[in-house]
This record gives sequence, structure tokens and C-alpha cells, in this order.
Amino acid sequence: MAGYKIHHKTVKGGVVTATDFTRPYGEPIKCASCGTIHFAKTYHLSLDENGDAVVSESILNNLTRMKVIGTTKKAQFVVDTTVDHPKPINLGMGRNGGLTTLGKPTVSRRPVMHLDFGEKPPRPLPLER
Amino acid sequence: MANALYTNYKNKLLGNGTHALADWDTDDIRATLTDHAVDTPVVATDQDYADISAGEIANTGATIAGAALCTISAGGVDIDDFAFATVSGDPAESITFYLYDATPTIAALLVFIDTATGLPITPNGADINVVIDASGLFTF
Repeated sequence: MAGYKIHHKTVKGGVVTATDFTRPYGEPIKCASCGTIHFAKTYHLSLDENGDAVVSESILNNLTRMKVIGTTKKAQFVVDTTVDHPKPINLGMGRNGGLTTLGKPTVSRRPVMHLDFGEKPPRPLPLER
Repeated sequence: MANALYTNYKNKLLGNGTHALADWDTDDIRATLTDHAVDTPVVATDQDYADISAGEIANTGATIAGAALCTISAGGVDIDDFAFATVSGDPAESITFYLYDATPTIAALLVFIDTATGLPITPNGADINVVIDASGLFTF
């Protein structure tokens, strides 16, 4: 199935994350890949040295809805081209939950940029002493 | 959460629980990728495929354990590497292994994995190759 190459206007290399607060998780996720806690649907976009990433059609549509991709000034990404045969991606499992080391993990480092969409939930109040 | 066996599977191994007991090296075991923004699996209470299918992004659609694909030894299970073909959906936060049955309400959930190299995974339209460690999937 075809993928879609998207291009970041300024960032070259690194991971850009985008969180859609209109789609909260059932419970927060401590992300083993980027080391942060996600409360809502988060897209990890691993950019190559040209600032490009290849994503699926669903992701393209959702990032467009979130205005992360588009032609407006605010949009961080633009759609470059269709990729007929994107490279397979690997997912590695170690025994009993251990992480394995693969040649090209999808995400391997902390984000260089983070984008939010939707209303961020308020921080919980500190407990009364 | 963390990687775990579904509680109902543990109960089944101990002689209780619901649905059939999976035989890893003969039964039809499959895997599914799940979108937690649609349905977050609950290891303690989810029992069958119908409990998590709403959040499915991709399914292997074929046996990934069973004869010739699985080894049981030293109290553990090892399976061959496998792939989700041409995945076009949203990012997935976990993988669940389950005992396939044509009736989702009796397809028993077995293993939940949300910690693996590459999870959450961001599909790009290509195959997602799942590489199982040489030491196997899990042991007791």
C-alpha cells in the first residue's frame, strides 16, 4: 500500500511528536520510545536528514485534520509526494517485555519538537496536606 | 501498563477462567495491533477478541504460532518472526496475541505487549515486521 512523504518546513532529522487531545487514551501511556507520558493520541514522526517522513493514509488524514499538515502558515508539514513502495518497518520484542535492539527502530530518541491539537486537559491539583 | 498475560488466560492456566485453553504449538494463534485512543485493552478484565476489536489497526490474519512456527521449551514460548502486511492505519500502542476463533466472543486473549522496540509504531503503508527475540516471547 502506498505511503505519503511529508516534509517539515524547518526541522531536519529527529523526532517530531504531535498530540491530538480530542482523542484521549483510556489511560496514560509511558512511551518507551520517546521517554514521555502521553495522555492522548500522539504521532511520532521520525524525520530523515532532509526533514522527510513517510506516513500512512490514515495518519496523513488525521495530521491534516489537526492542521499539522497543510498549506496554511501555521502548518508545520507539507505533503511532498506519494511513495508507492515504502520501506518495511521493524518492531522488536524481547522475552518477557525486554526491549530488543533493531537496526532501525521507528523512534529512538526524545522529540526535537512537540505540537498540540485540541484543548489540553488541566493539570491535576496538588494534594492537600 | 506493562507487558502481561491477560488475567483470564492466567486463570485458565490454573484451571479456571473462560474460553478454550490455547495450545501454542498446535492452535491458531494470531496477533493484532491496537489503537488505544479507540479502545485501551484492560488486561485485568478483557477476555476475548470482541473486547478489543474496536481498536484494531491491523491483524496478522493468519496463524503465527502453531505447528512449525512455535517452540515450547524451558517453560517458555518462542515463535517465528512475522509481519503485519501493508498497514495503512493510525499508530498502534500495543500488540495482543490471541487464540483465533471465527466467533470473536470466544477468541481468548493471551498476551498483551505495549513495551517493545518501536512501539508505539507509526505505520507508513508498508509491512510491519515483528522480530521476536532469539530467547523467545515469554517464559513462566
